[in-house]
Amino acid sequence: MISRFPPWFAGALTVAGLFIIVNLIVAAFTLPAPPRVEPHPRSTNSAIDPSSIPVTPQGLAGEIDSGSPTGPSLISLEMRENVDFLLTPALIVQGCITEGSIVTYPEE
Amino acid sequence: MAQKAFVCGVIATLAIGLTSAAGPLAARMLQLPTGKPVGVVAFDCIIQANAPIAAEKSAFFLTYAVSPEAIAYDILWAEPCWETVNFPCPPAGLSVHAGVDTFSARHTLNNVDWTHSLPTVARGVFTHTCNNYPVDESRFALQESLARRLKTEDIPALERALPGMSLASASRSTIGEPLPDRPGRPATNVIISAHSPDTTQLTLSTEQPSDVREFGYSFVEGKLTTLLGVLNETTVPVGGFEIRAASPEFPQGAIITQLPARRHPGGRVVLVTFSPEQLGEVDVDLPNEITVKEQYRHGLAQGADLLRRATISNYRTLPSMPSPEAIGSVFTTDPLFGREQEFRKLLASHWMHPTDTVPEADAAWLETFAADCERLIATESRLPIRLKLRFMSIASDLITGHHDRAETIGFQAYLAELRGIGLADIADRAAVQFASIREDWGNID
Repeated sequence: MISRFPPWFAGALTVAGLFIIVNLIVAAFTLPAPPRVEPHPRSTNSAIDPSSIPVTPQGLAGEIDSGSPTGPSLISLEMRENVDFLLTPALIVQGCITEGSIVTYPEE
Repeated sequence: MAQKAFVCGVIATLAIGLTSAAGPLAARMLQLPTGKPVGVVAFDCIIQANAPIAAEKSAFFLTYAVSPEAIAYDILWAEPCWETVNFPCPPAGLSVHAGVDTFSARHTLNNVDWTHSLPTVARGVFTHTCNNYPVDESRFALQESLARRLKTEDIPALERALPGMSLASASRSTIGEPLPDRPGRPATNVIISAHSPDTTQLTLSTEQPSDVREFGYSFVEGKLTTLLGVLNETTVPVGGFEIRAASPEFPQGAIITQLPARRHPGGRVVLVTFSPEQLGEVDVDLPNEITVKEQYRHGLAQGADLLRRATISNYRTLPSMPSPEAIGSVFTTDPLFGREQEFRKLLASHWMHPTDTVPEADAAWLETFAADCERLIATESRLPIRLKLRFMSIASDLITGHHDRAETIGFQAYLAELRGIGLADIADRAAVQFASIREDWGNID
C-alpha cells in the first residue's frame, strides 16, 4: 500500500490501527440486538442456540477485545512494550554505573 | 578497671572480626553484580522492535546519556523510512530526558513538548486502543522500574533467602524472604534457587499470583557475562470497549466507552549479555546486547519469536549529564538542521507528485541538496546520520525525476547499509516498498 503521505510524516496511526477502527465501527452496527423471546427459535448449525445466550454490552465488548487476535487493547499493549523498551538499555546501564545498585532487568 | 578494659577489648575485637567476616562470607556465598561509579556514560544503540500483532517490524537508532540520577535518549533515525513506522509519533527527532524531578519528551523536528513532574501517580487502568500509546507515558515504566530495582540494601534479605539460611520464612505462610519495604515497590518476596561462584538464580514474586520474575546471573572469573530473565505473565488492568448497536433498547446507537478488562502481556524471556568496558580508570561490565523473546507463542524449544533486540556500542564518558533544557540539542546543533527542515517542507509538497509539477526553484534546491548529502555521506561515520543523508538524497532524486540514479546508486547503497547491520528483513521490505513507489510515482488522485 503506497502512502499518499510522504515518509517521516506518517508515524502515528498505522495501517493495523486503522484496520481495527474500521472493524470496530462495522462490528458496532452488525452486532446482534439484545435477545428477545421468540416463539420459534432459529435453527443453527451450532449445538448452542445463540439466541439463548444473554447478550450484554460487557459481554460484547469482551468478545471483541479478547476474541480477536488484533484486539484493540492488545495491540496498544504491544506498542507500549516497544515504546517503554527504549528506556531499557539506559536503565540497565544506570544499574551498572550506580553505586548501591544491583544490576537487574527493568520492568516492561 | 584494667580487667574491665580487657573484657571490652576482647568483645570489641570479636565484634570487629565477626563483622568483617560476614562481608566476604556473604559475597562468597551470593555472587551479585553491583554498580560501579564511573560518572556519566554515553552510548549508541540500534533497537529492533517487532510487533507480531500489528505485523510490523521497526528499527530505531538512538544515542543515550546516562548518569546515576538521570537518563536521556535521542532517536536519530528510524526504519522503515519509506512507509509508516510502527511508533506513536514520527520517531526520528524525538528526545527524552528523565531526572529525579521531571520527565520530558520533545519532538524537535515537529516542535512539540511534553513535560511532567516526577514522581507521578501510579499508571492506573490502561485505556489506549488501536495501536496508540503516548510516548510521555514511559514515565510510568521508568518509575516502576526504578522502584523495583534491587539495591545493596536488599542484600541481607537476599542472603536470608539462601537455602538453609532462612530464619523467618519457616514461621510464615508465604514463600521466600520479604524484601525491605520501599515506596513504589509492591510487597516482594525472593527465593534464591541456585548459587555458586559462577551462578546466581533468584525468583521475585509479589502478592499478584502471576507476577513472578526469575533472574539468572552468570559470571566468569567474577565478571558478569549474562543476565537471563523470565518475566511471567503480569496482569494489567486494561480499558476496553463498550459497544452498543442502535436498537429500541439502545437508541443512542454505537458508542465507545471504557470498560475495565484484564490482559496478560507477560511471558517474556530476556537475555542480556555483558562485556567489560574500560571507562576512565574503572573496569565495568556493561551490556552489549539485550534480546526479548515471547515465551508462549511457540514455546522455547521450537524457537521463541524475537520481539525486541538492542545492540549497544561505542561506550564513552561525558564530562556531565546533559541538562533537561538541552533536550533535543543534538538536532538543533546539526549544521544541516535548517536545510533539513526546508527539505521536509518540500517533501510534504511534492512527494509522489509528477515531476513536471515541481517548480523549477524547488527542483534546483533539491538537486543541490542531494549533491551535498552525497558529499556528506562520504565522510559521515555515524550510521544513523548516513542513513538519513541517503534517504534525503534518494527522496530528492525521486522528486526531481532522477529515478534510475536513485535506484541504481543511492538505494542500493542504502540497502547494503541495512543488510550490513543485520536488518535484512527491513531491507527486503524497503526494496518492495521502493519498487511500488517508483511504479506509482505521479499517480496522485
